[in-house]
Parts: sequence; C-alpha cells; structure tokens
Amino acid sequence: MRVNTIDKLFRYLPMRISRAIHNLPKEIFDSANEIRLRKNSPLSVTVGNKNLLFDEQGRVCSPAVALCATEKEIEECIYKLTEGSLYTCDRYIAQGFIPLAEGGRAGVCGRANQNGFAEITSVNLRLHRFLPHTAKPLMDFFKSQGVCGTLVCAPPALGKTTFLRSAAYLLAAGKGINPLRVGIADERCELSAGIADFGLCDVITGMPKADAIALLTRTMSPQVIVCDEISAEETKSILCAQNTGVHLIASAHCKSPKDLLLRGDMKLLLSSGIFPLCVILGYDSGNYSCKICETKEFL
Amino acid sequence: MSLAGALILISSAYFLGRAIAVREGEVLKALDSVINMLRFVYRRMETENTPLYLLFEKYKDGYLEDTGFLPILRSHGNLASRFWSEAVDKLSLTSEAKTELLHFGETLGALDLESQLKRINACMDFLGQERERLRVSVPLKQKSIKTVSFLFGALTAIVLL
Repeated sequence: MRVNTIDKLFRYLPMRISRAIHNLPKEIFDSANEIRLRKNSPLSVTVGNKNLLFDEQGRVCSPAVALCATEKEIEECIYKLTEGSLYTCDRYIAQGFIPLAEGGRAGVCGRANQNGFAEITSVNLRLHRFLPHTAKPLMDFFKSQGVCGTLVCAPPALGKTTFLRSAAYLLAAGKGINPLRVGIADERCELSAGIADFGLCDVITGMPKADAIALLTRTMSPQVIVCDEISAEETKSILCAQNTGVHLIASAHCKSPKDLLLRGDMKLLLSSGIFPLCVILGYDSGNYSCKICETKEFL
Repeated sequence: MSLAGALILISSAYFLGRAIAVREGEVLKALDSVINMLRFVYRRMETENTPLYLLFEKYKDGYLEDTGFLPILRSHGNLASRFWSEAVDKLSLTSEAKTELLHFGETLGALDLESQLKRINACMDFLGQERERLRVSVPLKQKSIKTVSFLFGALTAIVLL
C-alpha cells in the first residue's frame, strides 16, 4: 500500500508554492504531513512536531527569507479546496475546516463573522496517511486481553488520527482478532479517509461527535465506535454508549491521561471505566513511540 | 436596368435589413437565456447546495449551447467560474449587460451562500431591467432597419431604372 506524500496536496496549491515544496529535501518531502499557508506570512511544512520554513527554491531557512503566501494565493487555494463553489462549504467553514474530496481536511481560520469567516487568512492542509499496521501493538493487546475502551493520548500532530484509522481498519478487517462491527464518528471528515474505500466500517461524516455516537449506538449496533478528539461535549453520549456495552476507542489532546484529570468532565469519563486502556503516543529524536498502559495507573 | 433586376435589388436589400434586424433581436434572446439560467442556478443553490460546475452541466438552453457559452463553462469542470468572462464574450449583449455579467463573474463561487444568492438576485434584477428597456426599443429598431433597407433598395432601383 503506497503511503501518501505531500504532493497529493499539490492540486490545491498555487503553482509557485507547489514548485517550492517539490524542491524540498527528500527526507522532508517524504515525511511532511501538513502544509500551512498564511496570508503575507511565511509558509511552513510540518514534519513530526517540527515546523519548517523554506524559500522559493525549497531550502529550509529562517523566517526573514522564507516564502510567503500572497492574498491571491490564499484565495486560489480556497477556490480549489471548495471546487469553485465556496457556498457549498459554509457549514464546514463555520467549524473551521474544509473537507477534501479524497478524504482529509484543510483547517481554516481568519477574520470571523456571524456566519463563519469574513476573510480566511490561514489554511492548514493536512495530509492523511493510512498506515494500516500503526495500531498493531493495540491489536496484539486486544488479542490477549480482549477488546476494551481505549483512549489515545498525544499532543497535536503526533499521529493520533493515523493510529485511530489503523485501529478501526484492523478491528473491522479482523486482523489478529475476529472482525468486529466498527462505527466511525467522523465529525471533520478526516478519520475515515483511506479506509472508507474498504467498506468495512459504518461511517458518519460531518455530524457533531455527540450526535454521531448516539446515532451509531441506536441504529447501527456497533461493537466498537471510533472517534477523534473527544471533549466535554461528548461526555453524555459516551456515557450512554457505555451503558449499551459498546467499546469506545477515542483520542484526546494531552501528553498523558494525568493532564486530562485536571479537566472536570474528562476526569468523570476516565473514572467511569469507559477507557480501561490508554495509548500514549510520543515522538523523540525522529522516532514515534507507542506505550500501552492501564488508565487506573493514573487515577 | 430591367424590372426583374430592380425586384432582385429591392428584395436583397430587404432581406439584408431583415438579417441585421434579427441580429439586433439576439440581444433580447441572450438576455432571456442568461436570466433563465441565473434563475435556475439560484433555485438549485438555495435548495440543494449544488456546486456550480454540476449546475452548468445540468442546465440546458439552445442559445447558450449554440453560442458556446455553456460548452466553455462545462469544459473546465470545477474551475468553470474562472472562465466566466471568456464565456460571456460569446454572447450578443449590450455593453451595459456585459459589464454587469463580468462584474458578477468576479465573485461567482467565491462567496458564502447568503451573499452569493444576493449577488445573483442583484444581477438578475439588473438584467431584467435591461431587458425591459430593450423590449420597447429593439422591436422599433428592427422595424426601422427593415424599413430603411427596403427604402434604400427601392430608391437604388428607381435611380438605376
């Protein structure tokens, strides 16, 4: 299975910018997963947890000489992202993103108004990667201990979504365990990118997670629900799903579950036993790490 | 010059005048077609949130197809609105109508739904007023052209006879 590289996003970029990115050193080009455009400010690509600026020749450089995106280039990018019909993306833009045609999303922000944004000044094009074996350590654990609710913890841009995507695929495909009925609550049209083609999961896209979890639980009889970036808004739905015996595999922005205990509703979720297991993702000296532990160690 | 020659001269002049008059009438046809298309786009945008390139693909109009307006937009897929001015150039319109349509094209596909619908409405209003103005003047103009060309033909024939 060919891994996506950043050139998959070139179709959304102005020529000048895609030419510069194309000239980046190979090791950066192959591992970059985000391109960030800011109006009249330096562009950056994200590699792991690093943000790299570069000039028109693709050389990594300081902000003073870095390539900047013009207002027209931001407009062109938005035009391409919305397929020349910005009005079709109103409800997504109001939530700060534009779904990509092939799956994945572009984050947007700028000068807000009551309907969304009067002007978009920043675009974050995120490359989705489907790496099917990323969550294999978790599958090995499930194989020996049984499937249970799992919380994937990591700071931003460290592969939580990639991990969840892999987990959903491996559970539904029955890699190492019996195939399960997997529902995906994909609010930002990103989590199911790459795995929707396999047709193994029931996916709801574009719906708030709380509603999607409740709907999946009521109507699709899933054995596992996978969702990304849970917050206090989803607590009630998650607790209801828990009472029906559905396992939840979700992610949260934090360095470790200890940080979540400082947040009231999240502490309730962790204490309720919904997530007996934690996966802590990390990145150090160019290597990704994955540590599986029991939540009760942090309570 | 014989009588037959005179008749040929007069009828040639008349048909030439008629052809010019028909061309004048195309302005009304173009306006009708564009207004109907904008009305279709407005309704579909409002009720179905359909992307522009799909709307141009679905819409059928003989005049807009024959002049190349719709084929140009369709050939560029989801970049259709970038070629709006090239498509508008194919239409027989007054300079005022053309200016308004070109100005409209600058924000086509680049606005949120509410603003886009308002813009379409404003464009339809303007073109509608232009059409009403021409509805009175164009038939008179056509009649004058046919009359003048007939008279010119007749006068020439008389002089030559």
